[in-house]
Amino acid sequence: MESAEQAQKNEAYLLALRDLLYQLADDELTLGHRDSEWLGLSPDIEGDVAFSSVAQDEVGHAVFYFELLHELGEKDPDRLAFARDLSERKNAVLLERENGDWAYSIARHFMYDVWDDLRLEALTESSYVPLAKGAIKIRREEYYHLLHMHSYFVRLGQAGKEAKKRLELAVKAIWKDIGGIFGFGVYEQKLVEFNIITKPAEELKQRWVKRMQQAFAEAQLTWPDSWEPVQYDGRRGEHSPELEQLLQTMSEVYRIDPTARW
Amino acid sequence: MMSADGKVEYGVYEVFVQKSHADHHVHVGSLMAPSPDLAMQLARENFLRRDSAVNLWIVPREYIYTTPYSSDFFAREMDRKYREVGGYTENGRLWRLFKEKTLTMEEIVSHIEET
Repeated sequence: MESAEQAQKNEAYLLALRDLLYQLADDELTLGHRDSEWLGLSPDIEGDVAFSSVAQDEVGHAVFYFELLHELGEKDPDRLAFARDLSERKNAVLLERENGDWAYSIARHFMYDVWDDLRLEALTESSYVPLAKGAIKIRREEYYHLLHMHSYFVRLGQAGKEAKKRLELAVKAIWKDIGGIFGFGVYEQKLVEFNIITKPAEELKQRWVKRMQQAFAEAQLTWPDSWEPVQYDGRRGEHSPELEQLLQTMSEVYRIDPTARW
Repeated sequence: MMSADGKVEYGVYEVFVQKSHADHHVHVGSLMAPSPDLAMQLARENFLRRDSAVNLWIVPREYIYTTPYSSDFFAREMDRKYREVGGYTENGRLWRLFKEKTLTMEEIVSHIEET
């Protein structure tokens, strides 16, 4: 599929593709918004600016996915970002959770970035060419987020004492939601069949576990037992009240006048 | 670095950005970081958010040797005007006038003596 026009001619293909694009866009937008909330609050000013810079990257990636959706006949990117209901959001619930502790934010970001890296890799040869091209570029940028979050994750663990304690608490909290980031939603089977994503979710999950176990060892953390099934499945539009609050804040200005020109 | 009370303290790194291969590395600011690799990552996110670059240096501040601010090191006691290039700025225009024969050598010399 070279273009949006071609994709639109195959209804089953289009349905699966659109659903995946919403997952990708919503993951990046939601986490990007949470990152931006660190502005002025990070433990040091360098981390403060770094989180904001990462936030802008993530939102930029979301814009890319929303534009692909728009080309496929969906509404314009601003409306997709700000005016969709909670039940239409496809991000993993982990990413909508409030920032809480800095260790939580770092650990969550790191774990998501590893997943995102594997998912992007499986998209670089997607049958949907515009997505494949974007995935290559985005992955190059995400490499630096991954490096950044990995460095802090390992340092917090190695530092011991309070830092390690906070990191352990963060891991415990993340483990309740972690199951929700794996998987490609209701069209999983079709997405792999159509080669829109070239690796099954289960395979990526196993690779994620391997990479994460290595990072846990580096950070001198004990690998927790397997996780429980999630309470809300974000990929199916189920979300926590924390997303409700996030959307309220994020779309506050947009809702004043949705027709305003920026 | 370890301080007296056993806490690990962040070091200060000076950051230099080279914008293109033809440019020098230019000092853009400083930051604090617990290690050189993190300093490099933080420098990237803090100083290259908008501008592009081809190279980045980070230098631990303690490796920079510096002069004191109040010292005779920079003193300018005597007239150093003879070292300056002020006398040359008019050369091009005078040379052209000389070649056009609207100015004699004597006039040029007297012009230089005036300035």
